[in-house]
Amino acid sequence: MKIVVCLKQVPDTKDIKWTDKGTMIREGVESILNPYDELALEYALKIKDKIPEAKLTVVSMGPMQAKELLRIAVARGTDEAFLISDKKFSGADTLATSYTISTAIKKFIPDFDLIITGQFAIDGDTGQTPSNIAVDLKIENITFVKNILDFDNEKIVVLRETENGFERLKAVYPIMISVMKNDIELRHYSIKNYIKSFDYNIKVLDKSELNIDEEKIGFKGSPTYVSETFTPKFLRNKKEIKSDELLNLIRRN
Amino acid sequence: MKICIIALRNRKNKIDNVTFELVSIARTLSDDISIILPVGLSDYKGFVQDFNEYGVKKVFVIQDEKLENYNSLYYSNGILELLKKEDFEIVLVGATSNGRDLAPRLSANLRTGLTADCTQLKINEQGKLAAIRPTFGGSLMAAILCSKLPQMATVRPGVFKKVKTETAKEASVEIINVNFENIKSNIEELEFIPKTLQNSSIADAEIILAGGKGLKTKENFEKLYVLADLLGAKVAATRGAVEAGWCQNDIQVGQTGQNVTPKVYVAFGISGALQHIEGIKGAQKIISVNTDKNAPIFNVSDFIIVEDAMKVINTLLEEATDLRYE
Repeated sequence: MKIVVCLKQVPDTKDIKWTDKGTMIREGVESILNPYDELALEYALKIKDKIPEAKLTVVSMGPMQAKELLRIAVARGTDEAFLISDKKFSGADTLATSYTISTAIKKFIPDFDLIITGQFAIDGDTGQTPSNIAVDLKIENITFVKNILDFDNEKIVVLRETENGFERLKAVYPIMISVMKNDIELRHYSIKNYIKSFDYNIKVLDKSELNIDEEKIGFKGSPTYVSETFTPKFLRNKKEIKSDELLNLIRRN
Repeated sequence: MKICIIALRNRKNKIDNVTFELVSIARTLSDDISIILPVGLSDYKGFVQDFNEYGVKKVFVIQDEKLENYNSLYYSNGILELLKKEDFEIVLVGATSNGRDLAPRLSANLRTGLTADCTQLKINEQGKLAAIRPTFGGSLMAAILCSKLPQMATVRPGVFKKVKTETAKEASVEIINVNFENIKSNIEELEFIPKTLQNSSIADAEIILAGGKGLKTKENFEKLYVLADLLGAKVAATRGAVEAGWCQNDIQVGQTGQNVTPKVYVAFGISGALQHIEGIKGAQKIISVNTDKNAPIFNVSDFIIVEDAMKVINTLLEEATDLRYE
């Protein structure tokens, strides 16, 4: 059985500070593994716990510094790691990003059974890259997966959450699932394994490795673009009050 | 300008409300609005009638037993056949779970762009769709254009109002049959577990106490529930608080959560990313508590308190408890 997990490096939004003009201060903002992807990886490792011969590959697209998160994935028990990285890939919207990632999967892991992704990335937050990749790979995908209930070498059973309720779905491979937040515990990795992960050579895939259609990548391959940005006009009085006035303000409504 | 709106039905076999919200906003952009409605074998005439009150030109009904309940493969295949034939310039989809599942499958197949969770839709001077959403970082709005056709966007429920038309006309109806013989989904539904009635939602609460990452811990966040009980309020949260695992996402306010319209909205430890602010514009009174005097939430607040949110919550808890025993 072959499992692929897609990982994305994102800026940590936890400690954002603001300038007096209301813009975000980006300096000193750390990069982290997208929290949804962290769960995707944990689910894959849980499958490997039960089916040890399963081969787990992680794939990320981004700058070279994203190697670090792949290294940690290796320390946690991943068998193979690819970083898709080339200046020509930058400026890509979800369609161009998905084309690039799916090209890499087709070439290097063509016989995958299961792809697990996070449903969202906390930076872009569109939730559409997984479905776009699935279309490019000509497979079905299940979005908004709340939990994996059962699996074996042929199929997986998941719980999908919608506004109306929960769907218990059985899917035969090949399939992609995209996971939502859940409170399963993430495993730690030992320092020993982390040090050992440096012996592993993360495979970097650039444009030439993928022999990719240049018209479909990066900014050029992206049908969507930002035409303008503006500050919304939504301002109120911001009258400063003391905290002991608050209760009355709430109760008076 | 030919606009198409995809109408999805929920598990109670009702068309999602967001569909009518989308028709209402689309009417301000064009008078050529079509609906694509995938249905199972049950009667669809009632659905078509619903649309007549909203000023729709044409309803394309795609009918097949495989379309009874949502399945992304069957739904996208059926709809794609029609989208490839009709030259719609804009395609809009409601951002429900199924809508968010469907829209990227359609856009990827059509090799066009899709803008997720728009909070405004406009037609610019060149006659293109400007799909407007907060940018990452949340301090600016961005107008996103698409160089290909159709231009696609999703919109969350509750962003636009449902407005019936005064000049109701009967929409023309075309029944489409799609050949599903050569497609077979790998996915099978074993069971559907409906959600039990949720405790009344934050969407219609009168007083909302909302917490953000400034509250620092789950334990701190949970004090809001105690306070809310004492004050007859409901608790809401930012995306950050949900991410941190302090609460479930059904109380999340903002672009990717819900829009709220309470009489009083109190923001505790919320910095005020645009994604959040977009969801509270309709509040009558906004009060915010934050230690950072530059926090953007202050600009959109009627009253501000520059103080540690936990300190204020603890004081309020004491005061509100005293009130109860007076």
